[in-house]
Amino acid sequence: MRFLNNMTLFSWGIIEITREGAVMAARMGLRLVLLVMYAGLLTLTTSPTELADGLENLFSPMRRFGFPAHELAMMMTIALRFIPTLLNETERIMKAQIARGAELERGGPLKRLRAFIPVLVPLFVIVFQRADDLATAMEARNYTGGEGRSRMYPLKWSVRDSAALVFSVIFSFAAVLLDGRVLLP
Amino acid sequence: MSIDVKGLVHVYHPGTPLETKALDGVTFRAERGSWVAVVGHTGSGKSTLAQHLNGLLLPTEGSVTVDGIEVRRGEGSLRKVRQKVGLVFQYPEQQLFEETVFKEVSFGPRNWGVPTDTLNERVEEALGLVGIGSDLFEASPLRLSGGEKRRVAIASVLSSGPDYLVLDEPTAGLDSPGRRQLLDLLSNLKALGRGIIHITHDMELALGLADVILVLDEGRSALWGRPDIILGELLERDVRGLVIPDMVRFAGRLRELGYEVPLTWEPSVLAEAIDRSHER
Amino acid sequence: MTGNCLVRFSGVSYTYPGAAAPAIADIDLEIASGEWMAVLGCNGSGKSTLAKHLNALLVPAQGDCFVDELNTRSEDGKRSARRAVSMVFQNPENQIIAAVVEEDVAFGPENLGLPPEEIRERVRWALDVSGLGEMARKPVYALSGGQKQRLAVAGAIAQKPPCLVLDEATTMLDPRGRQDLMEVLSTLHSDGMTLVSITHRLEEILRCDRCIVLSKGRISWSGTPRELFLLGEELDRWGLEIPGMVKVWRELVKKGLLKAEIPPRMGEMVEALCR
Repeated sequence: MRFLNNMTLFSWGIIEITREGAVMAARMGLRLVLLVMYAGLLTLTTSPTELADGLENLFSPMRRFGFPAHELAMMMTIALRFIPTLLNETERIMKAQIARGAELERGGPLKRLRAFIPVLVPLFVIVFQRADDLATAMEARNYTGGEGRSRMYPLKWSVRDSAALVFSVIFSFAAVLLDGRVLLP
Repeated sequence: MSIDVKGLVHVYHPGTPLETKALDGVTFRAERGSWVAVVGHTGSGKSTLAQHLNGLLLPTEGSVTVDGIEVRRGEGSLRKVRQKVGLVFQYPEQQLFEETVFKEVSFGPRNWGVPTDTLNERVEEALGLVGIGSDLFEASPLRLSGGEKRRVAIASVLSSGPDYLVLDEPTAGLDSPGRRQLLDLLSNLKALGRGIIHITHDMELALGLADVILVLDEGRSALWGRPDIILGELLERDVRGLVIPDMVRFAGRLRELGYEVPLTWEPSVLAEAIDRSHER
Repeated sequence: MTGNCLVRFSGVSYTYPGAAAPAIADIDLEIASGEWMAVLGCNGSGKSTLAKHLNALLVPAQGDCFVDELNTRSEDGKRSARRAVSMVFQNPENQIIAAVVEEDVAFGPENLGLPPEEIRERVRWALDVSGLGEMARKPVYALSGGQKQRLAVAGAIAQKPPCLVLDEATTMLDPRGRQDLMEVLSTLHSDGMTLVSITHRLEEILRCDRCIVLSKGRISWSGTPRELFLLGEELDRWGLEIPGMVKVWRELVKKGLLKAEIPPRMGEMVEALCR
């Protein structure tokens, strides 16, 4: 990237490093670090279930307008539950088809996609069968939707939550205000 | 003509914190026309071993040789080995995907490049072996009964013309008629000269059917030999996670009490012996 | 041990939509509170269809099904059947809803809208009974097949039902997993829970009080496990195979070395022979 009126710090052949460019790179880098740190903080402090419960609570006022808050949270829970299972099954089916001579990793993208049909169809069958079984199992365990459900660990607002909220708000404001001011004269 | 496994070691995820040794120096031989049962608890390395026999996994150390061809990358070794050794995974019916039974069973041979004129013959032969009649050739494999699906899945491996068949818990989930039908099929294949490698956690089944039994424990070969020898050994020492058939424990207990009974897995033989010994 | 009638079927038939023949037909059956009953038959005999009527997952096409004297056809009857009868299904993988062990056990009690205190207490109890007390915070994917199935049992009994139905619950387990599950069931039975085991494996009915055999959707036979073991070629016709140990027991009974009252278990048989 080249800027007008910028100050060259270093140049070597076609490579030229300017002050503005270096500052820009540093800022981008810092933003990424911040993003990753925040995401890390979230997953370290909050279990997926708490997250799902939290989202359900957050969106529950919108239920009045037909927003499926509980259903979304339930979908998230189930999706998280079955990711490892599905990965295992994919691996197993792939191996079974390779054992029958399928070549899954040859040729261009279109050919590969076609070669994957022997893996995709069985996976669909398994997933639909599972959806069916799971629906029956949930019904058998008295599930009738979000109405009248309670929770083993109800979410309660505590001092720590307030502190975290205040900190996050201040931090976010500070980040927005300071962005573009630091590192430049 | 045999599959020879020598000092086979398999390490999953080497060099990472997830590193696990699934197989640790397994040695055995499976010959054509014989039935080898590989018995062990869940996590003993049975399924890892199965995948080595047709090159889905490659040895970390040691070797696997099929009719003189070593399983390794390059020189088309894997393709040759995979055609020689058919692998039937647990619940193989889950791999079915074609529109018709016939297409399903021709999937393997087509992949191996079997010419069209012999292809139909192969498919019909395989379906005939598993007892699926021509009335079902055009049916969707997904609409068959549980037992039929399983047999079609096995036919889809047989159609590639393997000399050895490795089956991981082939009877799991079948009821007793389905089970008997499947075991008859395997005996039949053995009589036709195929090598059967039957992976199971059912000791009673292994004792009754196998010519040789390999017992795995934590990835090591704990026992290897004829069923009658294995039977004696089992009473001597405890192999982790292996459930010794009640009948064998019963015979062992009676021997301790002075009965002259053989260690056997034939109920009538044991009952006869108890009768004779009891009179004395 | 057994008490009043918990479940009553009267002339129950059911045909799946699009099927030519009924899956079950003319079923008359009573299950007494506290008994352990086995429903036997090969695949396609109608076992699972019958099981699904026990807690109103299916409602009879003809005839009536009563749980606690309430007809499962009515809304009240359905609700009460769902609470009185819990189910464990064949595939452990497909009945666990949450990603963490204790959260899955809590699913049923949460649906009942119980207070958090009580849910936690029930979860702890159910996990202890199922031998998973140490695993409460473990992720479900870290469990073995047998442990998963015991988790399914914990999830079912956390609803504190008087009756538990096991629909082919041991089919996908290894021998160790089966043994562990049978131990849990024995504990529940001695604590007074009514159990219904749906199975084609005769190894599992040794501790049952009573069994019925389904064949082509109809009840072909009923009696005690020991009476069943002494039957002859009927067993083949029904597609049932008795375990090796029981075959020895049968031969010894026929030879007059054992009395038919002696259960076909190693300890009892050795003792009776040596007497």
